[in-house]
Amino acid sequence: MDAVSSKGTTYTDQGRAVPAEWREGLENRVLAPLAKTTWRYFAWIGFLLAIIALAVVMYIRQLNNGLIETGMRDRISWGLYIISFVFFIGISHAGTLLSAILRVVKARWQLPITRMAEFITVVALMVGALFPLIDLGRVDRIWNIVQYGRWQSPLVWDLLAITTYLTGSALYLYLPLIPDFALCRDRLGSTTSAWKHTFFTIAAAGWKGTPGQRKALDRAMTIMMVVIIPVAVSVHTVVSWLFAMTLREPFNTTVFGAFFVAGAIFSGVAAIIILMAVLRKVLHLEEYITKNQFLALGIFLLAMSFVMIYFNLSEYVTTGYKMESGAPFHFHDLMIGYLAPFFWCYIIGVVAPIVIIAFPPTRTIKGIVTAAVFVLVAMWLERYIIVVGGFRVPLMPYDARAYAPTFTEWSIFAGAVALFLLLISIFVKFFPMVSVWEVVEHRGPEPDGSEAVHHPAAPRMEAPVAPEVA
Amino acid sequence: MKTRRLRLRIGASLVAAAVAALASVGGVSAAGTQQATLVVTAPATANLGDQVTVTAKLTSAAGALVKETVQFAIPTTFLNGSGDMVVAQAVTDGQGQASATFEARSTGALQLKGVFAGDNTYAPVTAAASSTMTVTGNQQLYVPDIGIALRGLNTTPTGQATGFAHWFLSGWPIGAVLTLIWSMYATAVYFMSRVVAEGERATEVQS
Repeated sequence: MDAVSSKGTTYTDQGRAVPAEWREGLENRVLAPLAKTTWRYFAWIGFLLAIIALAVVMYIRQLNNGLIETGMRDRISWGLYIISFVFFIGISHAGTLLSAILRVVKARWQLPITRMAEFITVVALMVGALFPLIDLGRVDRIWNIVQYGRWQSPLVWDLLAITTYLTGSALYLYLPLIPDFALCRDRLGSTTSAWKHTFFTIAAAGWKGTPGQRKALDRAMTIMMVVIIPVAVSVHTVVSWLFAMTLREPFNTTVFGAFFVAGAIFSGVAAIIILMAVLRKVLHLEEYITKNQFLALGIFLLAMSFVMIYFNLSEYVTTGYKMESGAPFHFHDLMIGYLAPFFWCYIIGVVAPIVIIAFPPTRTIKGIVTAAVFVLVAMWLERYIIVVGGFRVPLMPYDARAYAPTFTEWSIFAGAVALFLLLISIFVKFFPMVSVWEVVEHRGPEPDGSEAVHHPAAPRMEAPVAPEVA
Repeated sequence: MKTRRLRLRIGASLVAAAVAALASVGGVSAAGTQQATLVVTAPATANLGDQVTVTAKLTSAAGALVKETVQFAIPTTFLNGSGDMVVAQAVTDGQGQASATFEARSTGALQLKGVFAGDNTYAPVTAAASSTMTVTGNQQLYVPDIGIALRGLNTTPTGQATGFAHWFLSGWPIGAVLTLIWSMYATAVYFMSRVVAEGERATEVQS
């Protein structure tokens, strides 16, 4: 079957009929945002750029004045920047990992959302990787880690793991995009600018859908989907080791690696659900991203809630039973002390998916998205508890210090969130947000049409339909 | 009456005992008045991180002072404060000689001091070494204590290889895993290049 063709009924690899009309509707709907841009889009981009500009100004101020601009001091020397680093790397975790696992097991339900998931990974990694640099008072010294870094240093492991994961994720994102770039090249001809057309032509890598090309692409994707799974797991394990290998009592736990990986998947899935809901609404993809995808990810979120509760119990019961030096202070801090508001809000966020998704009346798209918002906030709070809570335990007989991010830190954090949204917004204008060829070849229309909202036909492209390729 | 006197004596004794005990706990010793002489000897040079042996000889007009504690200190500055930091201590032997070893952890010309705190007979005495000790070097002093040394994983094969080989061997397990992963990336890129080649071939066939 040819991904570019739009003539006649075709069949998926599972034998499901794909009417030409449905396929054309899908292509038109997915390609529409690439051809047309409204003033609202530019207003949104302008708003994000304004936030980023503020962050840049505050960062320059931090460069000039040093880290005294932040709330970090000698007693609590990791703060909002490291919290944000772990948070964004966590979000990045689920996209590619989930997509790769589901492709390996040949699941089909997720095909309409794989592109979004994979893109979240790449964007979150790009944004997250900025934070260790921002956290450096002298960013020009970053080269020292390359020049003088030792293999034995967890910082070097982190640098290598993130670089490897970012490269792999970008490659894994690009490979399934090739046939869709060809679709853009062939379908968007005169409806888009010349430079955009040139971009699509180059990015399509001469794709014509020949058997030889399909075989080569299939092999490349198979390699990447297999290799990216252990790489994804290793990244967040290494991030956890940055903590676990630091001499702080609350970090002295053997479950940190697995705990961080689980937490990353938990927050990553929540981020995918939220982005999926937003893009579905904004790009009018209700017909292709249905309740089925939300339900599947919602149930996964529910399961991960139990996993997180298990890990929390495992950690607190074992360290609480022994109550080594520093643990009583930390437990007091968490349960009824300085960090108690953060801790109990975190617990509410972790339990929220169980309360919302487990019961049919609230197991709706809105309910699942609400649960995802709870989870995302909770997982940010969890990183706050880990970082600040870990550094609050006094190493010597001094009073524990408080930490509050300054306006500079909040501005830079807001800038990072804005950058994350900006990259996604730009991506929407350059890349099809649904993997059209995969949905057509492997999935087809919703089997039962359940919950699918049919929109009026998307505006037709002016460009002629590409000729059939033998 | 006798009972009252007895009670007073017992009370006075208890107070005296308590004062003596407090003085002992507080490290306060009743200083004597006789003069002791302390001579401190230290090497003129040392390397940073070396174990340095210093000696002191404690004598008086009556001869060597035996079984007395002598402390050795070096001048130290920490944050905004400065003072003498005790780095070692030893007890004098039959000849009044005390010898101790400490690790030289700071560089520069150090003026070593010996301190005898005094006792019931002798007054405290402090003496500087006859010459300053110059410590040189710039190596890392903190060496982590590795339970099981696995060459390439947590230790470096110093002296066995140079250049790239040394760099690679010092962390070969990580290097090997990375090489494997990046090789697979390269293979995927190779197949991607096949997509381009196949496309060009199809174009040629069509034309």
